[in-house]
Amino acid sequence: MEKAYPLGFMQRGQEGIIREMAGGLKMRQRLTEMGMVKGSEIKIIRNDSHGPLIISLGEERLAIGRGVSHKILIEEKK
Amino acid sequence: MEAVKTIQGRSKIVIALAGNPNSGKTTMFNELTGARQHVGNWPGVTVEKKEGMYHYQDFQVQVVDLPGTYSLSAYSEDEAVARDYIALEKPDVVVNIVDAANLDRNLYLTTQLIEMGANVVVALNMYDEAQKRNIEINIDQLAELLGVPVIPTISVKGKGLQELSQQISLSANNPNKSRIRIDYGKEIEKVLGEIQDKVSICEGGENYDSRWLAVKMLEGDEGITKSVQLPDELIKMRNNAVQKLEAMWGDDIESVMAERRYGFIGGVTREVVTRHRSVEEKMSLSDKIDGIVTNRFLGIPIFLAAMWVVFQFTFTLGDPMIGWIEGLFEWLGGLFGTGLEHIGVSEMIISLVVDGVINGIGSVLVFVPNIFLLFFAISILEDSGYMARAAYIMDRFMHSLGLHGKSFIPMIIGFGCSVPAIMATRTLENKKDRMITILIAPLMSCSARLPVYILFVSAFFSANQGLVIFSLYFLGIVLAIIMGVLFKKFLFKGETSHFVMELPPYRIPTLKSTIIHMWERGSSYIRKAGTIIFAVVVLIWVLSSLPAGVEYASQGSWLGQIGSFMAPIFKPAGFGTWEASAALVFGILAKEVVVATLAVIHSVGEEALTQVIANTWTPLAAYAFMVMTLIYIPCAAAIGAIKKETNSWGWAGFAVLYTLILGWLMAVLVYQGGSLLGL
Repeated sequence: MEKAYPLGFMQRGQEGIIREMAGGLKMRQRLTEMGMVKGSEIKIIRNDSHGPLIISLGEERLAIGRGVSHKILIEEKK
Repeated sequence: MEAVKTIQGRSKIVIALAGNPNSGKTTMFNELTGARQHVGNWPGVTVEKKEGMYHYQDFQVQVVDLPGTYSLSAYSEDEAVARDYIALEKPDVVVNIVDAANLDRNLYLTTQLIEMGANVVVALNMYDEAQKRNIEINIDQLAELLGVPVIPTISVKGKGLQELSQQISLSANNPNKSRIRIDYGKEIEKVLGEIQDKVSICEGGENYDSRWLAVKMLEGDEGITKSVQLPDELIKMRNNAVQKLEAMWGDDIESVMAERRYGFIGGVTREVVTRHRSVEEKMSLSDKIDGIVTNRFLGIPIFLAAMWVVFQFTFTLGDPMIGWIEGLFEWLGGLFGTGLEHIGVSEMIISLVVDGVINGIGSVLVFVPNIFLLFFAISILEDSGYMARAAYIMDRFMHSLGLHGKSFIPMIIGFGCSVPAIMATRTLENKKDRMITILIAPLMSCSARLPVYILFVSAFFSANQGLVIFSLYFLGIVLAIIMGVLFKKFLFKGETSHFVMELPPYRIPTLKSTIIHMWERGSSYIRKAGTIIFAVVVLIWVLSSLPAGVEYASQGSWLGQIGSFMAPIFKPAGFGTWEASAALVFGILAKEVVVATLAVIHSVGEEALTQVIANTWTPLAAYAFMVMTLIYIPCAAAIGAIKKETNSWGWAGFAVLYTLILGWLMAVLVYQGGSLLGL
């Protein structure tokens, strides 16, 4: 498996697959409800170094807070 | 459930609407039930319950709109309410509204409904949106793979409703017998089988589908333990099995089961969905707009500009309308006055009707145009999808204060009226964030305070009207932020909840849905006028007329006596007169009444009141008074809303107390400080 690193460090335009979701049960629950599970493919729409990120998940756009984004590990899709 | 016959021989059935937020569920509910709706509360919780009714052929259909949810776990109140309703009340049909453009995520709820054993009909909604994005869905195949009927609909345009109603009636009479099963994998299925055998004979277990119970139990669902008596050895068995499995995978059981669910869903969507893409990956229009709107430098200015447009719209369009309504009530007053005199009704009653009721209610309804215009503008922002971006932009700022980005939407609504603002805090999942927002919402200068500002501003600050009023709004915002930070630091310590928010695609809002949303919020204001304010106005009239024989609304009347009693408290703030105190006391019940009370006391109409005020007050005292009005006590309707949303008189009382103290402090500060500066 390729190395996975936190969502918060990805660049705009990059695509990746969710490999791990660290963090408490409630947080993972919330993410799951919104469609984010291991294996989900996401793309970074916006990532300024402060404030929430915007990612695309399928047809959707999600805003993800920075704290949460550090707990989601992504393997970059080449 | 057997179809029950109504008196007219119609079959009565009960259906529930379930679906994600933003899936068009509310529109569907409105389309189906029209005006025959009723809003209440689910017992014991602060979740709103909407019910309605419609007729189709010889069916009378009762519709229950369940809260919008992404899933049916037991973690949030919304989900628990939805789940309990379906499991225990067993509606004849559960209509699952699914957003066709977001099939994967929406199906997560669908699979849970099917697993529960509900009689599901899927309404594949917003079909036109999917088509616009070149997404094609094979409906027949989808129905086959899910094992439930699927009806394409476009709720905002009313399309597909006939077919949906027809299918609902069909399904009510012929409940879905076959049920697809999600295969959770060999190991899990084995454990599920073992649990399933034992769980259906447990006490309370007969209400639920046994496989669903087994799935929930294996997942570690907390809600199950509350409704079903699980024997210790079953729990032990489950724990042992889970331990072994988790050791084997190095992962927790909920995650694995969620993955398998999505695996199933992914399989379904791969089969039924065809995406036609252009050769180059084009960024959709939504993204292009977002590129500008959420830009780190342009984001906040654009937001401020949007807010400025909203307020301009509200006030420039609203003010002329205010004039018309004022004229209308004057005419009404004159009409009733002369009319009643003609019939020979006593002077007292005439005074009650004209000075009291018509004048009082008039002063409140005068602001209806502004309020509705404001809510109209806010609805457009929400329905178009911009509000979500605004929450995203403001989150950075809010986060630095320890608050949540979503908190600021209720605060914006608070500029119209605190009551819908407090109700809007429901979108905040975290209880602490919600409490803080509820407590600071009343500090946002609501439209009821505007008449007070206008009165004093035209008396003293006519050169700088806009500026002075703006300074008050600004003060409110600043205080809200400060109190928010203080509450966060000392009362509601803890981490802010995780910011995960959907950004729906930009849509052109339909006139119909905007008006419905505007009405939902604005009507609470009108209701307030009709009830509380009416009662207060009559109360004021009564207190002004007693004890018998006293001059109407003079210092000797009970109104005056109350005022005199309270007056000393306000001396340091510069308005220690009995008139001002009386006005403030009644303003507790409804802010609008402050002006009405002053008008009654001075026995004059509104224009003349300005003159009287100019003669009897000083500018500094006027400003201090306005500050007091801005801050002190949420109005009775807002207090009621706080109690309702927090389910506690304690917090409502706290809100009352802290705003009172803060208001008095600030007013005194302004007056004393201003005097020192020689203003």
